[in-house]
This record gives sequence, structure tokens and C-alpha cells, in this order.
Amino acid sequence: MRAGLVSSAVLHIGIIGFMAISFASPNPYETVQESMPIDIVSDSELSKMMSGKKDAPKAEAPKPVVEKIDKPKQAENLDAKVSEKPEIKAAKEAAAPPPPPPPPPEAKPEPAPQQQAEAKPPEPKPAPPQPQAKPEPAPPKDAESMAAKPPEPKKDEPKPAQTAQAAPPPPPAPPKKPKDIPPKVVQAPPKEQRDFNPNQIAALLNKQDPRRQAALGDTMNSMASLGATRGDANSLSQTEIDALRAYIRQFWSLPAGGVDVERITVSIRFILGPDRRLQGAPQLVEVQGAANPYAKVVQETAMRAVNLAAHQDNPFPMLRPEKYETWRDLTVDFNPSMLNY
Amino acid sequence: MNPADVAQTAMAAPSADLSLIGLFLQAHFIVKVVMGGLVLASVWVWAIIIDKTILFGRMKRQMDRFEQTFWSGQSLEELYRSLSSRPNHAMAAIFVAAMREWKRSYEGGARSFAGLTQRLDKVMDVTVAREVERLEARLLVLATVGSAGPFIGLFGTVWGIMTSFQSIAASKNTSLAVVAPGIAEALFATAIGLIAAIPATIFYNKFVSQVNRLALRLEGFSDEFSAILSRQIDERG
Repeated sequence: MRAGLVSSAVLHIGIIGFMAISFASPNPYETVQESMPIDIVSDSELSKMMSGKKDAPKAEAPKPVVEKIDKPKQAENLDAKVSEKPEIKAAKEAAAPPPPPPPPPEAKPEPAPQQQAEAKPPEPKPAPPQPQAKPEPAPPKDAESMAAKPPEPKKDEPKPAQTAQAAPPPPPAPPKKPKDIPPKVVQAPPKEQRDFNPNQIAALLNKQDPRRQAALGDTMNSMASLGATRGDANSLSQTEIDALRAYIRQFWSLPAGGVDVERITVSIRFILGPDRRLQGAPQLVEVQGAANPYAKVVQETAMRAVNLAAHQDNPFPMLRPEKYETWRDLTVDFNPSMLNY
Repeated sequence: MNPADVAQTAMAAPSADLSLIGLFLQAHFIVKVVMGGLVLASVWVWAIIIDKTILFGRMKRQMDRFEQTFWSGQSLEELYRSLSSRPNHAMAAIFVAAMREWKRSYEGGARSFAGLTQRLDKVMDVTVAREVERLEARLLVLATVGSAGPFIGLFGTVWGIMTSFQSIAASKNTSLAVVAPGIAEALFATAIGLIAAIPATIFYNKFVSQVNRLALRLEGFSDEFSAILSRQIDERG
């Protein structure tokens, strides 16, 4: 019997020692978190999706028109009226080009002398009577030159074409030659042209009183688009909703232990000011599953969560002031199984 | 409940040593007693198993050898003289007991042989019963451990789960990380109970059948020897 007892004891000690070594500590479960590539498509993107055409040319993204936003202009005259429309610079620039046309008459005297030299004999007669009716003298020239020089029709014809193209120039030309007859009448316009000052013309054209311009540079959207002034879809993005949800959930401590709590939904509406603080008390919109005795608890804790969330030092940090209109009036559904925006 | 809170409380829970030794050391006192008792029972069971295996094997070999010599035609007187000093196994004990009774009655000069056969039968029956009892000794321990071991282990488990529920109630936390060590430790008691009980039951059944076979063989031998002796009596009478 002793042999059996000794061998049995040795056997057990050996087994226990082996277990103590080999089963020293159980292996913890390996919780492998698989990463999945996810494209996040927000609700607003999904709702704005349109059917597309595969071979359509690639549309270019709208280019920013204004790279740099100017400082607001200091009003020069505070007494003047405020005009709502911006000053139109294009008008000034458009006004500037007209001056060039007048100079041509001065620049093109050179071709004119040749024509006139050729057509000198006939011209003097028609010129005097028609200093103001400028286009009219030209046809007579052609007709007369044609008539005067039948043997050289080819040479003459191109020149009339030139005169026809430079229809305006010829008229000024005549005035110079027939100085003797109506000098004063013809010379009056040239004097004005010499004094030509684009700024003065612009001043003449813009008959409006000088007005202050409404400040636009720092408020106007710099994107060339037909969008809203804020340039954002009128909704919070999914990430902002998630952030809001997570933020409020921090402050929502719901005691465990209710039955059928997932059927209770408490909707609470609250209005935030631009400083992201509560304006007025949050209101209870509706309670689903109010028959559940636990609903009262859910409702009270949800109210407390909203109050608590709004009374932090930096409440609702995820709400950006640019989108104030989208989060001014928020209704949050509190459900014990998940918190919905 | 805020998941962050849960994570924190789970971290705050005692970082349990989940090895088997650690489970034993963390257990409640009563559970420790149960586990220790079951381990001792297992040691005792295996001691009996080893002892009986050796005993039965040796006895079977000795009986084979004795029967061979008994039926070889050797003189019973010589056989008796060689064995009478120390009958080292059951069959030899029966033979020696019967021969001793025979010699006493025969050599004592008793004239009446009528009662001799009855006396021989009784002596051999008693010897067979004594030898079978010796073979069966401690087999009841195996039977007891085999049947009661699981219950004892279950008691330890119930007690351990009871205390772990009490500690859950005290800590007001139901996360699995808090509950699990107590339950694992409690289940360890049942495991030890089963470890002790399963071999006990298996070997108890095996040994009981072996004892029955050996007892049958002893009874057969005693009957045959009784037949031989009664034939001798009749021849002499």
C-alpha cells in the first residue's frame, strides 16, 4: 500500500507542477480589429446626387474669382448716401476705349493726303458745303475720281475701298484742306479732342452723386457660383452630426436596468445662440413609449444632458459659426440604444 | 452608461491571476477546503488503483503457478510442507487451511469421517471469504469518491459562485471582467472533483469485475479440492 501511496503522491505533484508551468496563464482572446476602407458619403451628398453621363466632358471646378479680399474701403464722405450696388469699374474701362477712335483722324491724315492729292481737283467743291455730313462726301469722291480718271480704274478702286473702310477718317481730312472757307466750324472739334481726358469723360458719364459703397469685399463669397451667400448646403455634415451626437452622449448618463428601453425615444428641441449657448430652456417635443415607467427617467436625464452640454466652458465645439443657421434650432432624439440627431 | 466608464471600471477590477494555482489561492476558504480535499481524495484513489493493480496482477500470476503445480501430480503432502510455513496467496491459503484441518482430523485419530467433509468445506469457505474480503478492501473508497466527487466539486462551485455574486453585488458592477474570475475559480472546484471521480469510477468497475473473477476461481478451486479430499476420505473409510 505504501508503494501505491507514494507513487500516487509523486504522480499528482508532478501533474500539478506541470500544470502550474504549462498552463501558467490562459491566453487572452486576440481581438483583431479589421480595418475596412470606407468612403464616407454624407447624406447631403447622397441626396444631391444626379444621374451622370459616362462620356461627359469633365467639368472644371469653379475657379475662385477673387484670390485676395480687399480691405473694406474707408468711406470718404460719410454724409453721402449709401448705394447698395457696387461701383461698376467695367463702365469706366468701357468708357476709356472710345477715345482711341477720335485720334485716328489725326493718325490717318497721311493716306488721306494721297487720296486728296489724287482727288484734289474734284474735292474742293463738295467739301465746303458738307463739313458736318461726313459720310456723304466720300461717295462723291469716288464717283468723281472714277469719272475723272477712267483709264486707271484699278488703281483708283482699291483706294476708294480704303476710304470706304476708313469711312470716318476722310471727313476730318477735308476740313484741313479747305481752311479758307469754314475754318472755325471745322476746327472746333479738334480742339476738344486735344483736351481729351478720359477721367473727365468718365466724370461726365457718371452723372450720379458720389456715394459710399456698401462694403462687399469681406462678405461676398469668392466662388463664382450661383450658390447661397454662405456657399454651404443647408445642413450639418455627417461628421458634424456624429460629433454633436458624441458630445451630447458624454453628458447623458442613463441608469441601466430598464425594460424595453430601446422603444423609448425622447425628442428635445433647443435653440442656440451664435455663441453656442442655450437660448431659453430646452423643450420636450415628444416622448415615444411614454407608457414605459422608465421613460420618465430617460426624459429627465436627456434634459439634464442638454443643459449640462450647453453649460460647458466651450459648448458644442463642433458647430462652426459659418453654419449658424443650420444649428440654431436643434432637435435631438434621445434613445437609450442610440442617440440620434 | 458611458463606455469610457465601463472601460475604466474594468481596468480597475483586480487584475486576476488566471493560472490554476492563482485560481486556487484566490478562492474562498470553503472552496479551498473542497479543492484540497478533492486533491487528497484523488491522491488516495490513485494510490489504491496502483496498489490494487499490482496486487491483482501478482495474485493472478501466483494462482496460475500454484494451479500448475497442484495439478502436476506432485504429492499434496510435499506441497503442504513447502507452503505451510507462509501461505503467500489466496489459493495457497485455502489449500493450507484445508490440509491443516485434514491433518488434524486424520492424524488425531478421529474415527468419524462423517463430519470431516463439512468441516473442510467450512474452513475453505471462511478462507475464501477472508481472501475475497482482502481483495475487495478499499474498493469502497473508489466507489465513494467516484460517486461523491462530482457532488463535492459541485458544492465548491456553488459556493464559489455564491460568493462571487455577493462580491458583484458589493461592487455594483456587472461587467464580465469582474464576474469572470470568480466563476472560473468556482468551476475549478468542479473540475478537480471530476478529475478525482472519473478514474475512481472507471477503476472501481474494473476492480470489482476482477475481484469477482478471482473469487469465482477461488471458489472453484475450493470445491475441486473439497471433492478430492472427500474422495480420499471415502477411499480410506
